[in-house]
Amino acid sequence: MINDEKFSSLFNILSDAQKDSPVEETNLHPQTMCPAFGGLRVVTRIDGAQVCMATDKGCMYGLTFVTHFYAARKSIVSPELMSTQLSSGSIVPDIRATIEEIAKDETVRLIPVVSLCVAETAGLAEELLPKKVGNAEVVLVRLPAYLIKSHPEAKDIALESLLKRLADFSKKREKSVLIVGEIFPLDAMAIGAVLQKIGVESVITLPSQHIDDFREAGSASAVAVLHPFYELTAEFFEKNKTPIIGGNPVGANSTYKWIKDIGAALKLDEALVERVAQEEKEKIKAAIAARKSGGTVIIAGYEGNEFPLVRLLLESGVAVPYASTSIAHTKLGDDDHRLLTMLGTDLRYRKYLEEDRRAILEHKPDLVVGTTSLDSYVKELGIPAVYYTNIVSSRPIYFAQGAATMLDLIQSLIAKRPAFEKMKTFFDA
Amino acid sequence: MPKIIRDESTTSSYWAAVNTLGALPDVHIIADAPIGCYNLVGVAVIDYTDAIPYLRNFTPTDLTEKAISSSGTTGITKDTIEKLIGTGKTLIVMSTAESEMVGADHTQMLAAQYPDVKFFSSNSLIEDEWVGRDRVLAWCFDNYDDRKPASIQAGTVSIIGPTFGCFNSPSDLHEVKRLIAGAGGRVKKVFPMESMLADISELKHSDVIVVMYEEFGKSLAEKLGRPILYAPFGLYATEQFIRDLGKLLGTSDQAEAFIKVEKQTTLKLIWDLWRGPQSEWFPTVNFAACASRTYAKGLKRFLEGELGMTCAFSIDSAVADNSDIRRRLQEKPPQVMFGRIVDKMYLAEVGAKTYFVQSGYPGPFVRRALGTPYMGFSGATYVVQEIVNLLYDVLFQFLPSHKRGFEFVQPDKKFVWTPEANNALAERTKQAPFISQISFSRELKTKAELYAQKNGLDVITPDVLSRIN
Repeated sequence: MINDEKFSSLFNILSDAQKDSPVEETNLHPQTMCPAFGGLRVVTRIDGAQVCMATDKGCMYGLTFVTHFYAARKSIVSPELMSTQLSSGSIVPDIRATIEEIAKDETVRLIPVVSLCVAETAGLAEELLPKKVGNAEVVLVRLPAYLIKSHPEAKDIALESLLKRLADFSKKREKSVLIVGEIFPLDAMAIGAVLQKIGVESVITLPSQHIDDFREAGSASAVAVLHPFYELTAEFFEKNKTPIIGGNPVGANSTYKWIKDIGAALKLDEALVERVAQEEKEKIKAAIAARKSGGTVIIAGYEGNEFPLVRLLLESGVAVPYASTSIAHTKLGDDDHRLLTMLGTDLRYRKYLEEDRRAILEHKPDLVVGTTSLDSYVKELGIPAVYYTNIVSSRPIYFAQGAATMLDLIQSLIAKRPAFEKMKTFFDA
Repeated sequence: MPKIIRDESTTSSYWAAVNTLGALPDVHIIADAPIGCYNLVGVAVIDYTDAIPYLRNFTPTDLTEKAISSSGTTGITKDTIEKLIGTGKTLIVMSTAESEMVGADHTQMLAAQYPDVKFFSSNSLIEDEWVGRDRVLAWCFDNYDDRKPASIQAGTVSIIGPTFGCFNSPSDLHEVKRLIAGAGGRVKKVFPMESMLADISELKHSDVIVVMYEEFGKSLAEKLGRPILYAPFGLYATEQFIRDLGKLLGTSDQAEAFIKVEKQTTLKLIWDLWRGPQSEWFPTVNFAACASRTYAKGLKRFLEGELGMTCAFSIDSAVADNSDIRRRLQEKPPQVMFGRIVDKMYLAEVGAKTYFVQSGYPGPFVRRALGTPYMGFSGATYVVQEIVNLLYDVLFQFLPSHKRGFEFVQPDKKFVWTPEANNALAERTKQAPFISQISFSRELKTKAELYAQKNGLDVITPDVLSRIN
């Protein structure tokens, strides 16, 4: 087993070796999935949606692969778009013909036309596409990877594209909330339970698998945007005079504020809202107090919703000297940015793999919650590392149950260090 | 009508070039690519197919809107080269579909400013991955062979083998090496996997070249000017392969002796199964395959041609129309499907009871352990063993079992059947086929009594019967 002194020296050896490597000093590898995937995750999961993709062979192969793995077990259909079609300029008629073909299936209610790098470069005019064919709405979703810098932001684009077409603002419902952000099912249930307690009468969550949720989204009297990258979506609702609530129910103070903000936006019974907000805050405080601990953790995912977890860890006594994400610094993420910066966490947006690696060497963490690329590097050092996307996103984080789950997870992972060290030693020999 | 593609299952030559050159540790690839073409090829998909956490010798220029609409990609390509030039690797810049869209060809720029860095035009808007693999391998020889005359090392065999993204290749490669050694050969190089780029110059000194896949490698093999054999599938082709290799290497005695021992060892299972009851099921096994050309042809040849199973279809995934495959799988699901994730999806759409055996990409599936070959004698044995076990499972699923929560009528409980109910029971029984009327009637009677028991009834009326489906 490697003792603490040896553990630190590992970093020094590695740092020395890498001083000679020019590659480590410079930023070469941006960290995100193909941005378009974020949009495909939103559109392919809707019941009755059949995607028509406009792109070349290699792109379609890769995006279909990750969609079938991480989004939906559904076919993706595309007109062939290679050199022949590009040079003959048949792209628009080909897409139109494919849409017609898809719409022959009466069960298809939505045809998202997902336009990617090559099609966008060739030019695809929206007005040349039909708006509706058969039973299906046809919605163009532009997702060129060269323009969008991360897959979370593509989720926003897809959501906004669908809402622009589908959201119906003609009927407003009092005391109703739209929740925006992909969350773990237990979190959704927890949100529902708390909102019901404060007097909210109906809740819709997006992205949703039901097309009617996109239609009814316009009826909400307030929109709670849980993740900071839904900027276009937030702007869309603001334009349509629906107030936006930022933040999320992670950690004691933020949860209190989040519940109060919703209460205020919906003009709910103040005393009741105050009581529930206090209750939830106390429950979270108790959950955190029961799990006070130490250690140094680096959070470096690329999902765009990493920073609330950093906040929670700091509340529990874990040091988080560095955290990074794939998205840009947004207005919706401003509160977290200010708070975490004040607390001394070095925050990076649009991060590169090399930046994260340098942070590992500098801060010598006990645990890294990162991207697959970063994690493989960290595990080579004998340090526990997990993939944020798989391990954090598949667990609750909201309210007291979320705090307990997350903090238990982090501490159990930190405790796994001997296994990581032993494996490293085994393969080093 | 345009050609409509469902679930693209064969990728482009750009992917082929990354999967081929990326296997060479002394190469660093710079792809003139937007971030997505970097992530999908070098991080996301390679992790789920080859279990490589990410391809370390691969960097994108990170094409952005500015490069596409105005500045071109030369500037970012040069910046990327500058950052990587001190690493001691052979840098290769390659185009992608997107850089080809904006007409970025860096051949001249590189020749003038970075003569050690070469440009590979991946031709991604025209070629598929198999054509691409074949071309990039030949390109490696054209650009990096040392041009020294060949000096043949007797008894050596080099394999033009797998790249990343070749399904099940570690097991197949292991088997091909074993066959070569058995025939009396010595494996010199396996290219690209297990080699450096610099090893390309070594290939021409080999006595014989073995090409693992029909889909690619032939162009490089033909440039080497040596006798070429293809890795075999099935019993008879494998025997012929060992025999041919023995002849070419002058080790026929060893090859014949090896064949003999193989029949008593590796292949003994097939002979035992053939003589046992298991092989009598083979003609009743209805299978379909959609995989890479080598696999699709090989499975058909072995399972249908040699073992006598029934092949519904066996199609090269590169030319398959997935809409047609989907229709055929859903109209008449085969008993066994050797396929890709999309086939699994189409079968799931109709709840088919088909046994699905992942036998190709796309689809997240790791086949890195060495014990699952399809090629050679070991492959024949492995595939047959899998099928026999699957037939045992069919039988297992068919046999009655004592299910938990089994419902039964209390033995001391007596129900009164009204005459009308008895008539109704008799009427419904008449609708069942004559041979099964007794069991049908008994089953319906039990169902009715179970219903009555659950609802606290003592008398069975036609009304009770009507509630039973």
